[in-house]
This record gives sequence, C-alpha cells and structure tokens, in this order.
Amino acid sequence: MIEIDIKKSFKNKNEKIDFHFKTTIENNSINAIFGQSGSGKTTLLRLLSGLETPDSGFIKVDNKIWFDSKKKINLAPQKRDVGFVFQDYALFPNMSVIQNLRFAQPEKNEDFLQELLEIVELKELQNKLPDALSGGQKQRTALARAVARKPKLFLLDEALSALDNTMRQQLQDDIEKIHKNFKMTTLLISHDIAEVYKLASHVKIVKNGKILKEGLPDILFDESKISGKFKFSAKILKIQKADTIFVVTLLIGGNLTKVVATKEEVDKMSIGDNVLVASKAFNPIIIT
Amino acid sequence: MNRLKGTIQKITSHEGISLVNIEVLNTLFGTVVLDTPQTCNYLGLGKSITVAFKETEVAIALPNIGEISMANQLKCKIKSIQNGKILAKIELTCKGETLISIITSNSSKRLNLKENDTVIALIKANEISLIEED
Repeated sequence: MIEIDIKKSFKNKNEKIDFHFKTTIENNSINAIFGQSGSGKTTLLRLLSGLETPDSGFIKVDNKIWFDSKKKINLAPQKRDVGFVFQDYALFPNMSVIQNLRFAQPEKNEDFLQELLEIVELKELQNKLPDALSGGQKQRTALARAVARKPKLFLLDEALSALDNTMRQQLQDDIEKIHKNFKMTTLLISHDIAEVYKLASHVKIVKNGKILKEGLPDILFDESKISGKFKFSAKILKIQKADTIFVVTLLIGGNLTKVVATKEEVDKMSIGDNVLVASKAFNPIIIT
Repeated sequence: MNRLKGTIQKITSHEGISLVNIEVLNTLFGTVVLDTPQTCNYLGLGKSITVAFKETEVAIALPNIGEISMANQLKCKIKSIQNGKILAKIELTCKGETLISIITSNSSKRLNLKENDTVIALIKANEISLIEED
C-alpha cells in the first residue's frame, strides 16, 4: 500500500495555492485522477515521483519511506522506483526502440524487454529509430520504456490525450495488458470518462489541490455537470442523415442505442468519439 | 440541444425532488429535477446556470393560445424553416438567442408556419436539464 500525506504551497502570480494530498493507494490497482485543469493532478504525480519536493508530510510505499519531512528523508526520483509517461513521449531520438528500453533498465533483463515488446506489439519495430515511428508507436515505446524497469508505481499524465481515438483505444488496451501481466500499481490522469471507466478500478477526484472524493468509478456520476439522471458514457459508431435530422448510433456498455441529433450537433462529432449521453429521469420507460 | 443561460430564482424541494425556477430571457422557467440543494452544489439561489432541452421537446403554438399546462413559454420569431418529408426543423430567435424546434412537417403545414411569424415555443418542465457553468 502507498500512503501519502503531503503539503505543498505554490505562489502563482498573486495567488497562493495550498496543496494537501492525503490518501492511500492499494497495491496492484489502477487509479484514475480526475479533475479540472489547475486542480493539482499533475502536481500530485510530480510530488510522488520526486520531481517536486513537498513542504511537509510523508510518502510511504510498503513501509519504505520515499519522503518524510520530519525524518529528513527525500529519495531522489531515480531511487523511487517510478515509471512516468507524459503526453510528450520524450524518447531519445538517436536510440532505437530497444535501445530506449535498455537505457531505462537499471539491471539488464533482455527476456523481460522482449516480452514487453510483444505485449505492446513493437517486436518487429524494435530496431527502428523513433523518427521512423507513428505517434501511437512512439507513445507505445514510451509506455514500454516506463515499464522496462518494472516500477513499483506507474504514473501516466494525460499520456493518451494527444492521440486520435483509434490509437487511444489501442493504447488503453496496451495499458490494460501491461497491468494484467505485471500488476504495477498505476495512477493515471485522464479527462476522458470512458477511459476512466475502462481502465480504473478506483477514482480520486482532485479539486483546488485536495482530494475531494474517492471511491469506485461511479462517483464520477455525481461530478458531471448535467442534472440528468439517465447518464451513460458511450462511443459513437455511426452518424446517419434521416430527413431533416441525424441518427447517431451509440455503443453503451455493450448495447447498441440510437439517439437523434441536429446537424449542428453532429458537425462536432466523429466516429469513435467517447461521449456522455444524458436524459432526464422522467423520460425512460421501464418494461417489466 | 438548445442551451440558454439563466439565473436560479427559486427552489422548492420535497422528498428529493425539486422544482427550480430560473430566469431565462426575462421569462421565468420551471424545471423539475431529482436533486435538492443538499445533493447538488449548483442548485443555489442566484447561481448562473444553463438550461438545456432537446429540439424535439420544443412545441410550437400560434400566439393567443388558451390556458395550457406547459408553463415554459417563449415568444419567438421564426428565422427559418427546413421542411422535410416527415420532420420540420424550425429555427427560432428570442431576444437575440437562437433555439431550434423539431416538429412534424404535417404540424408545420397545419399551423401554416412561415419565416418572420411570431410564435410561442413551449417546453415541458420535466424536459429541461440543468448544466453547471464553468
């Protein structure tokens, strides 16, 4: 288990922001950090990884202390056993895929790297330089590199948000596969409700530098800003014109549904988009 | 989805249900939600909120209608009409805001709707969703 109780104050122009994160993270779980920009999600990951130093408090990982202001312990980032993936993949451009992965391994374990390349489907591309890869392949390399050291804690900061939808879903599958195989405790920041539902078993909602609420992904229901009680995250499968309106085919939890929309609305949609479908609790009929 | 900005004027709650009155385009709108100020932090007097309702939930009446249960009424001008075989998409303007109503083409013809006509847009109270503003 990871136990955190850390404080940090920042001065942003004239405003002082006080962060106080107090929570626990179960081993081998995937946790989503959810919140608006500026709420402190990235700061939390940076404090955990050691890129930022708390003003006070402690970070304890299975009885090992990573940080303790009272005991004056502050492990350097490279000693913290953390794999970090950012939106910007930051691969070494002069190294091939496999060399990027080897560089991240403190102790050589070629078998593990080959297993990892197999999982993220990069085995055939392992001798290519990053420039020869697509955006999705680069981000998969970044994922594999962060995992190459078998970190205790796997941190993903909006790692998939720059990718298009198809790529994004593939990478979500890769994260799932990596977790299934290696069971690393994972913390991911995401703005995408469908992504959170797909990957995370636990959600922490961050607001104004504090953890406002935590629990099962269902707590996100209370957070969406529309009052409707008939709410689902859905994926757009098809958009078809019908008379003066449009019919949008959606996949909701394995079920196909159709919702009508106007041209103005479908102009903003694309096939594969994850969306929130909402209706008032007064409309649906229950058939028993 | 039609979206209009408003301000919450009154909240009446009973057993988990609330009637929320919102001033929208100088008109008092009413909506029923399964929330109360205790369960929902954007339900507060004086708070700015967006009211949202689907185009297909907007009925059209000619002026001088008799008494009707639908309390949410906006006097609008017809900006454009797109008549389909089955459905008609009617673009309305009210105090500078645009809203859309989708009714059957038959009804559009029956009311003899034309551009620049003045009509009343009607929305049922239980069809209005509230969206918190950023």
